[in-house]
Amino acid sequence: MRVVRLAAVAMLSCVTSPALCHGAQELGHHWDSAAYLGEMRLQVLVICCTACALVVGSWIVRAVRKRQAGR
Amino acid sequence: MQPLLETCDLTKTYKLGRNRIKTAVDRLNLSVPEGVVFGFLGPNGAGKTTTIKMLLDFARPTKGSATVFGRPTTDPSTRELIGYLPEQPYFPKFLKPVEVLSIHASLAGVKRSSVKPIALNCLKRTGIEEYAYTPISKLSKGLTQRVGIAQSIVGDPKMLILDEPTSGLDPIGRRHIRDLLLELKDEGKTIFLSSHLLSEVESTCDIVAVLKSGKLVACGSPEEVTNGNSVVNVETQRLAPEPREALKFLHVGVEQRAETTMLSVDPKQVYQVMRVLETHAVSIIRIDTKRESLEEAFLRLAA
Amino acid sequence: MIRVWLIAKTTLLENSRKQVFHVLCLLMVAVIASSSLLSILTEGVKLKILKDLCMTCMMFGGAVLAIALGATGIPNDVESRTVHPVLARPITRVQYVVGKFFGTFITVGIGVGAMALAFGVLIYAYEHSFDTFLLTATGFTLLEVAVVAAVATAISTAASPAITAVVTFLIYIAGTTKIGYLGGMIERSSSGSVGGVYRLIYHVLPNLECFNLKTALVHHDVVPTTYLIQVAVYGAVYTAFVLLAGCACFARREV
Repeated sequence: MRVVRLAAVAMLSCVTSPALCHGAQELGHHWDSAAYLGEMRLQVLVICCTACALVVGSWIVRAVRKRQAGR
Repeated sequence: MQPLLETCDLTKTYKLGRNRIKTAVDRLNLSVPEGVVFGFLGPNGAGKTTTIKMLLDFARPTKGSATVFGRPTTDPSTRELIGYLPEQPYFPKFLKPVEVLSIHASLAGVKRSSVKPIALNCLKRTGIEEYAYTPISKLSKGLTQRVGIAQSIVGDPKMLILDEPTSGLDPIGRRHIRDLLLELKDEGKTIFLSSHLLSEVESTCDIVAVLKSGKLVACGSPEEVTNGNSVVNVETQRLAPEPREALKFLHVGVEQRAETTMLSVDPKQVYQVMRVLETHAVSIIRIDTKRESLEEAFLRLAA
Repeated sequence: MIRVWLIAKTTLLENSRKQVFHVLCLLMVAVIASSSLLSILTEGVKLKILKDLCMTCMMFGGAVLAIALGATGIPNDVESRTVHPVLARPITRVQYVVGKFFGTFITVGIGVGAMALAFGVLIYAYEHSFDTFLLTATGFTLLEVAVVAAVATAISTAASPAITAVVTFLIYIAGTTKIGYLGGMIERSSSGSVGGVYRLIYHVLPNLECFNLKTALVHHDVVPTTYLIQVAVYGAVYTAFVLLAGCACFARREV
């Protein structure tokens, strides 16, 4: 089974590498593309907001539990 | 004095299907004082390993709580002072025992300069220092078990949780480990021991707890767990029908043999039985007291 | 940190002994090395196409390695129960998962480094000079690999190795083509709810194409430093967030 799995991974790599190999003209300069930059910035913003919300949420939950335990 | 390990209504349930719930541990209340060897017994599926998993925070209890050193078991700092031996210890096969112990010593917080000497010392204590540099893949089950025991004592823990520590060991190895456990107890360590080898538990443990279907059915010293269940065996000449009838009223076990009769008497009824035998002039060949062994107590409580 | 490093070191030693690591690394290095033979078979094959092929091998090979190693690390430890003595130590689940991730990442980094070395030697053989931008392109390939390894590690905390590998591979392919393919699907979708689903997937998937500096390497283009900094920050933030999600998942898991 291990040999079969290894062979499958190796075959997939050999077949897919050239398939993903685009010509330079197709890709273009995505560092100039507003879509790429906008998407990156949006994701970083969403991640930071989610992380902040989780941190604040856990503080609130901890404070509420402490107060309930104190009573 | 606060117990070192305490559980309060510790419960663990699993959902098996739509409306089926299995209770692996049911409102377990344990109290383990410091410096004792605590035997944790039970048949297969009683909930011993599940309890140990909850004590080490491998699984979270459904209800109840457990504390070690006064701190909740969910606090990772409790494990600084705990050494654990799983039922069948597994280590990365390519590592050598000294490397395994070095990693665990470092994880336990041992200073870098002391890691290797401590690792080699622990291997020496478990009697496998000559295998320190042999890959784990080349060691037998018994030797791997000893590596596991060595791994549990590296870092000088205050408490040891050992699940079947003598599993896979030959009689010499079992004796060695039993002596090691008594040595560790003399050093002031608390040992929480789960084992199926009841003769060893009886000779090693100060306190014994018996679990059955997730519930605690007995807890105390081995004498307390087996106490009140001694039997006095009286061997007499072959009994005639009259004394036999008289003894039946006393609910004495009578076993007629070829030449003799064996009576199994509750210690509280010994004097009454002796009076009956004296009245009927029965000759007594032999009297001995057979104390219930821990194995018999275990079968009585947990079977 | 010492505990994280210990877990990472053990993972590195373990992964470096796996057959899949040796086979993939050797295969990719062999493909890169043998790509120069194309000039014998086909007329007018330019260095640019060779660079394109080698860079793609490096990126894809790194991703596949990250998936293969990341998908199996934690599940194998849990199944073989080698995780029990480790988690019985004063180590948090977060430290364990992060340590496994770093171990996987360093192993894949060694593989990608070997491929980059073969690539560098090939370029030197053709151009008789060393292109320093290859180091930047390799660095960003490693960043892409870190994202993929983080996704594989995170999913492996809850799923089996096979499911983790398949899902991570699909995320990799989708992340590489999302701006063009998914973006087009969103524009073409008429239904609001379907478009909403596409939009959600679009914004959740990692944008892996931004780590691809192949065009710049091939055509000697100048990539703005601000872009590189933004991509580096994006890669680090996405990796950290995905890893933390995996840690949260593993913290609840019974082992």
